[in-house]
Amino acid sequence: MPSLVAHPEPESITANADWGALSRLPGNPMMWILILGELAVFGVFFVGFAMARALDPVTFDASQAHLDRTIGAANTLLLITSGWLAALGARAEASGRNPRALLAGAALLGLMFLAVKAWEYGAEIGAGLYPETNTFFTLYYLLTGFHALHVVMGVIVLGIVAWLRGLDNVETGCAFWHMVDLIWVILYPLVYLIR
Amino acid sequence: MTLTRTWLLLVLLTLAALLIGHPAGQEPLGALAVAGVLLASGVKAVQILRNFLGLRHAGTGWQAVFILYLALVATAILGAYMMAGSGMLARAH
Repeated sequence: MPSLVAHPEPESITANADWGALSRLPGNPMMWILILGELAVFGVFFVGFAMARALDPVTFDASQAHLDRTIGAANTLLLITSGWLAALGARAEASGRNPRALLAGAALLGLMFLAVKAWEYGAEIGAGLYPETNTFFTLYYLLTGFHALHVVMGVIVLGIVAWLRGLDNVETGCAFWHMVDLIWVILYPLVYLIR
Repeated sequence: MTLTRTWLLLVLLTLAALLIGHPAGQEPLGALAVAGVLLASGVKAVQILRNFLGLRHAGTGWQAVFILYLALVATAILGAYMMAGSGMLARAH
């Protein structure tokens, strides 16, 4: 005998759930759980990198000299400009305008970031600097590679929310993108500048 | 306008951190310059959180959580840098 009780759709379960303090954050609370988790993981990575340098500053500083600090700064400018376009996109969606061009611009700059990073990796590998070269390069490839993977995911997320618009979707996608931006803002000085 | 002003500030702080970090130099920066680089990066992170991520509207509690996170990470990085300078950890290792 079929049940007469109406089952709520999964979407309405999420919408009606009591997320407590997370409800005050823009976008879907599930994304904020992910963001908080990612920040915790990267935070451990950052402190781990700083401690590893403290154990062997001579190797770390000599290895860092092989990185191109100006290219790293250019990549920072690409990501913060991308974040600005994403924020403008979320504002456009909130005021009823079409955010697709802004989100596409943000994603395009994200792809340019990845192209620059790939060029950097190519130059470093060409110079014989591999993940197994020393602890600095192991952590360098691990940290920047893990971050680049998040940039790839972020570009995909921006594409999805530009396609499936709606304020909650766009805010959620942009929140992930800003988290990727935020992580690089800490990663860049730690890996490229501090010596 | 807030978003564009934030972006301009982020660009200026990125350039400031790059200048303090002497991109062409190989000599150690010293604790003061490292603190300057971390401060510039921390202010950038707070600007992204408040204005791009919209935490400005999420209440002071959430802002405090994220600022505390940034302060802890920056303090740990600066602390490790200063320990490296003193050779404390390398000797223990």
